[in-house]
Amino acid sequence: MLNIKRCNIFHLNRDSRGSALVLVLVIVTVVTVIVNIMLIGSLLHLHLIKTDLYQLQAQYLAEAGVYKTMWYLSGRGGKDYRWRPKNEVIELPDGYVCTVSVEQWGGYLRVVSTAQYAKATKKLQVLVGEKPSFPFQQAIFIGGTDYPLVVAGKNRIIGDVTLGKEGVRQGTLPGTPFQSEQLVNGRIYRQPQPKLPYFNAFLLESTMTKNQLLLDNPQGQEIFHSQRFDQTNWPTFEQNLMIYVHGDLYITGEVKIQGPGTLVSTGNLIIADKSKLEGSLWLISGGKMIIRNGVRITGCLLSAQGDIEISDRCKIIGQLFSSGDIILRNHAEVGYPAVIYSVGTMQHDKIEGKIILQDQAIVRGTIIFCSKNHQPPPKKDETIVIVEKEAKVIGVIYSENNTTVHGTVYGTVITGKFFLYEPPTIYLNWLKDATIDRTKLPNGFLLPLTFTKTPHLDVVIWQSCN
Amino acid sequence: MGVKTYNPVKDIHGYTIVETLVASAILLGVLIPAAFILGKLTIGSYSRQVLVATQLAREVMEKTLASEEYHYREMDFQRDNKHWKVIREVNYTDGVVDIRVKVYRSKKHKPLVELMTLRIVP
Repeated sequence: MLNIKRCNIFHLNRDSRGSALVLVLVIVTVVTVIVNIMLIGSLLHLHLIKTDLYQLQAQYLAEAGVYKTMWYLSGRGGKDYRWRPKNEVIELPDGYVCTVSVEQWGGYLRVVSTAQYAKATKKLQVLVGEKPSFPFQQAIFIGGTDYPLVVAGKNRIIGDVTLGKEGVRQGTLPGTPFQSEQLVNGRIYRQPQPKLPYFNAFLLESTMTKNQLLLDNPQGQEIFHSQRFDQTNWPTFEQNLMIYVHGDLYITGEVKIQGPGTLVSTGNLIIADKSKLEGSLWLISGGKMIIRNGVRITGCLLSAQGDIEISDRCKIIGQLFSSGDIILRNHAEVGYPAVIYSVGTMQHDKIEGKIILQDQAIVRGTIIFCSKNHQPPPKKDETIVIVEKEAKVIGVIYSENNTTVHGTVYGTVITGKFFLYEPPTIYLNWLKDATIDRTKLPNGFLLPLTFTKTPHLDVVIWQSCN
Repeated sequence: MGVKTYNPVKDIHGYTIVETLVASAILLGVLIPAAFILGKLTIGSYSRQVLVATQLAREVMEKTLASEEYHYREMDFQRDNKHWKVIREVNYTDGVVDIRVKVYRSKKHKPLVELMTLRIVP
């Protein structure tokens, strides 16, 4: 019995030795795996840090591409602001390269720059504008008349003023005593026969021309009747789609439409009821464009053959182009970098097309009125740009013709002359109850590319595409 | 009674377990910390250096672009208990300035990190 037991025990012992070896192998394997994981972890960490570095290097190269492109667009390297490269490779210092594209976006240019460093690629999209030149350092620049600027009522003019040799005077209107502390809080530059600063409507006009072309040549998805988009049938844009409506187009019912894309309506275009439109959307109307009831529009171009009316706390970050009137009322706001452009057409000694801001409307950007082919001002005097009491412009007003300001302008007013109508009398180059303060224009404010032959460019908006 | 019997099973079994445990202990107690320390000292240290150099380069580049101080400058920094040298190089060509920021560990000739961009000058 004893022998048998010993034999069994020895048998077990042999098994135990085998188990130990297996156990050692398992432990060695586990330890090796743990060590490898640790090393891989360290390598992965290094890889992530290097990837971050390459992304940063690619980012700065893409920025370099943007600035090199702006250098070309400023009229250097044998090119100018009309240069439109499409995925063109440009050379940077140290043998680096960058791919750039330029396209027009209303009054601005859109530059897309793509750069690669090691395995990292960075794509930047920027909106390019023009740095304000000398006339835009003034609070007021009057370039169409030798009449003196007559200041009446309670005005605040802070900043320099450039105007004709008659200078600035104090005036009194019936029932309205002069209440201003001083005529101008700044220097007054008098010039014989002052002229408006250089103005080139190339980009603005080509936007209007393209609108007309899109209206005249139906493309994309055509709808042969008036259409209403609401929450049940709002369009989704894919691959820069165009929807062309033969008739009126209504966008209502808190619709959310994301660009890029183009919406064309041969009739009126009405957007209402807290609808949201964003992305690079181009809205074109052959008739009127009416936007009301808390609509939010971001990064869009709005263009109408007829009037554009925006009201009821609608907020738009975009550019408005019209051959008719542009009217903002009831807390409507057009945010920076706004361009509001109306091209006036002379009809029976009267200019069609006005820009009117009422009821606490706000514009942050540039308001431009110019008559078609720069025709002389109409014989029948009337106001072309009106900033009414409680309305505000943070930016620039440029009007070849008459301007009336009863509200606030934080920036510059460049105009042919001021216009005041106190029934039954018309006062030419009078200013009443206005605030024009150049010092409150934010630093870095940029204009659309319209005011110099060789513009000094800068970036309005940066946007990373990856 | 009184005779001490030889039990080979017990002896061998015990020795094997001890052997296993010792082997495991050596592996766990030496190899893992060694690998950890090795990783930390070599790859980890290098990673840390690249990370700090990247942060420094970005910081100097952003300050340069914000202040528009486009001229050559050498700067010394103390980061992560180490001394760093940052050199900003600029090169003007026809209205364009290209800006390079190079970050060196002290007494090393090759920059650990280099950033390059370009701006327009009036």
